[in-house]
Amino acid sequence: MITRTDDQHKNQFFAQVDGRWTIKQRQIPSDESNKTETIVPSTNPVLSLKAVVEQEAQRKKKYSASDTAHSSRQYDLFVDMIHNMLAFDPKLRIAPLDALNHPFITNVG
Amino acid sequence: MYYEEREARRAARAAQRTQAGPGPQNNGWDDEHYDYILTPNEMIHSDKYQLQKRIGKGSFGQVVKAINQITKKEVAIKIIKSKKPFLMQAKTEIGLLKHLNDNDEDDEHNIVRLLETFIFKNHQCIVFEMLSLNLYELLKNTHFAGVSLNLIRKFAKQILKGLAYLARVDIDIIHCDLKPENILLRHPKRSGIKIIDFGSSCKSSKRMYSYIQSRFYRSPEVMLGLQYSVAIDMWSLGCILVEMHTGEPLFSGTDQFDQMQKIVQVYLVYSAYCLSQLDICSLLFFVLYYHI
Repeated sequence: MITRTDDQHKNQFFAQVDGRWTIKQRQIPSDESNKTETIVPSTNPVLSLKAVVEQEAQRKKKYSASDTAHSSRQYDLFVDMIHNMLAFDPKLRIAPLDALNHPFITNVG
Repeated sequence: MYYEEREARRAARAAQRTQAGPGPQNNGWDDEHYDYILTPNEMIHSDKYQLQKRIGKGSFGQVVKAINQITKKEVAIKIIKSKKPFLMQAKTEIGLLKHLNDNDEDDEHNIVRLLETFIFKNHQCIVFEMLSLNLYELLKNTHFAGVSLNLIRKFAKQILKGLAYLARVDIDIIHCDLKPENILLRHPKRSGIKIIDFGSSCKSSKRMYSYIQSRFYRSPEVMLGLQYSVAIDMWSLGCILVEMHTGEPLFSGTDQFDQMQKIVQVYLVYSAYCLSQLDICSLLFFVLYYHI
């Protein structure tokens, strides 16, 4: 997908290092320390997505721990569905009819 | 915090509007942005509609609540700016809406209903059924704590039905601007929703623009300037559903570059088509394959 796009778009986001494309690092000109924020591509999207969803929900104390444990299967199904909706490559992204049959959607309990 | 910025921008725009002097454009009927200057309770379209107040605003013009004097029902009238590009865009929107409504006689695909269209003082007007809160406002009502997975399931199911309809071969329309603001509750206390605003939409065979979708919900292929399809709406939906639960946008980039960074940081799919550190072999294969 990255190879297919034209140079202008590609170079906006990615840089080629040792023959492979990686995400460009942002240069933050900080005032005192020369810290740069390192952008590390996630190696496990399901886990990082799950972490975002659950941590955010828990941070807001919307659900007690027992509540979350109770619906942990629902969380897993939800994250799995989102993971399929957010496939980076559009060809691999779930189609609406398939999503309607996803266990998160069909599950009534 | 992103919301605060969004609200601040809105407030700034609203302040600008109130400073606008009376009618410099279109025979004095319009403000400087070619938006019709509202007079509350004005009767329009042969006294059929009584204008009430502005309920929405966009680059296209404004949305005004009105009462149909015959049925006494509330409607939402989109009053398009009186400039030709906006009129042309509105014609496209009307064409798509008619196509969507005509193929959905029983109103079962969760797409907003177009009631009628007319021209009023050089403004294209589009009359819609009146709906309730949008999902952004709903989230705001939870103080951005988010809503339960059960409610999200109900929303997701209905939006997916809408997307399935849009993706049908005989319909084949890309919404191009799916976001919480464009999904409206039918009633404030119920979970029924409808998809609105086809003002940026297109037939997937007639894609017009490459710069589309609101940034937080913009798909990677649009950012990379690649060909896009109905799948871009599914990307937006994934982002929306997470936001509805956590209360914060999933990828809240401050610009397009930052947007891509945020996506890659949280989320990188291990396909041969993208960069994943897990998948260097297949990526190398992909690069070599396309360069030989």
